[in-house]
Amino acid sequence: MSSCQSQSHAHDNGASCATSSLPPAVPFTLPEGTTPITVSDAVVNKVGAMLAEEGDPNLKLRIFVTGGGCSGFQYGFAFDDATKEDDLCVEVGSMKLLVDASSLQYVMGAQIDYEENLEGSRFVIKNPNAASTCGCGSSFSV
Amino acid sequence: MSLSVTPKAARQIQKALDQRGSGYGLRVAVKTSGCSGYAYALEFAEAPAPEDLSFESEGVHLLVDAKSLPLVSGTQLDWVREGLNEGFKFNNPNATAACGCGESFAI
Repeated sequence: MSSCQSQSHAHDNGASCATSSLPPAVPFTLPEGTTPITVSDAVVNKVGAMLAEEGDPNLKLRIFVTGGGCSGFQYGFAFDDATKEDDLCVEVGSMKLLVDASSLQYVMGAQIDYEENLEGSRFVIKNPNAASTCGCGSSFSV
Repeated sequence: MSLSVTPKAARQIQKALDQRGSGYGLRVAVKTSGCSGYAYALEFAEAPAPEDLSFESEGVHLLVDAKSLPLVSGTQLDWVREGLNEGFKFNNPNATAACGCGESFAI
């Protein structure tokens, strides 16, 4: 079974993104018709550009949640070339997104976007699970 | 009382001004919001306003209004890359606490 699903709900059995046949450590029941994580075009474009810069097309964007920040939890973004057993993998165009099972429970249903303005450029998460967020959105509470 | 920028921040400000096509410099203001009481606001300025103080650092102009100045005096503006994000970072000696991302601070 491939743990990698495409954003467009297409039946994609390409196992390139999944390295394990084990089920996720914490299974989730998604409401019907919902997508666990959605990714904007701006993210796909930016990640594509960053991977071209890195020269490694095998890298995947990993989103994780850690304790910290003024609101209790904070988001982290990194590139990862390894897939873990409990990762959810979402494939959007040329990019692959990884979220480990324990982080996923905090960001289920979230939208990932990339913003550029005078203050800087950053990946942002619109998270329906967050009860409150820090001003810049890097930290949240549930 | 002054404001300064790092060479990296100056390059970024100049790049943004060039992309914009016009502008005198960068205005740094402080507003009351954010989880730590105050938040920084950045915007381009076409010209200094009457209540502005103007500083030059690393070849770029920084403007700050007289009300905001005591809250940011001595601040060095840096441009940093943190993980996959990059942006301005305020090294403000007046701040006693700051939000995780540095956008909000307390005095």
